[in-house]
Amino acid sequence: MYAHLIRTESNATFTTGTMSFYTDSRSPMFSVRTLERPWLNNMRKISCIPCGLYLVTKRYSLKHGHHFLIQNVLNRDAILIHRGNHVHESQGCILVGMGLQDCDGFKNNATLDSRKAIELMDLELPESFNLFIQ
Amino acid sequence: MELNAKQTIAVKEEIHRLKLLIALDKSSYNEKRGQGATINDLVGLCSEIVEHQHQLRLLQLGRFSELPYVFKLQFPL
Repeated sequence: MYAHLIRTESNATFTTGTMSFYTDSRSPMFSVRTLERPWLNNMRKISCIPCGLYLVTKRYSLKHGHHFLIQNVLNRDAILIHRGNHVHESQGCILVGMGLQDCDGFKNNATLDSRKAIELMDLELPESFNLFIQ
Repeated sequence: MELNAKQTIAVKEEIHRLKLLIALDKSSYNEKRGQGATINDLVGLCSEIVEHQHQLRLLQLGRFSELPYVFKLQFPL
């Protein structure tokens, strides 16, 4: 299987998108919504990561619970897909949720049901898969 | 928070119970998926797993005050 992240909106404070998962025969499995830092030239801690093809592997830690490691990101370390609701909870990682909402009336998007999205990914996805970010 | 002997046993038992519940939930999820249930059909079951995972993590991190009421009774602050 593989995953495809399409970034749909990017502004000075955040980047949103949809990550869809497909079987090897290209049948759609399910989708989650994503929230990332804005694009700031791949600067550590404050920018989302560059578009491209990445290998992703499953991990578990007490801090993040079930999460996923995005490997070999140019000039970046420990870029994860993990749960979280607000963009300040990410240092370049990808936050996922079952949906997005306008949390404060100023279009600062927040993820909804983030733990459920991660759990679903843990249940449905293999130990490693390719992620194409567009 | 320092735990007494009784509380330590209670935590261990609760962790064990939650791990079993999660394993059962996941087994049930996979069985139903194998029988053709869609992901949308199983969202409720997924929510239960999420809740149990959350409680397990709180126990493992020692964040007892955030646990559900019944279990928290054993940890008066």
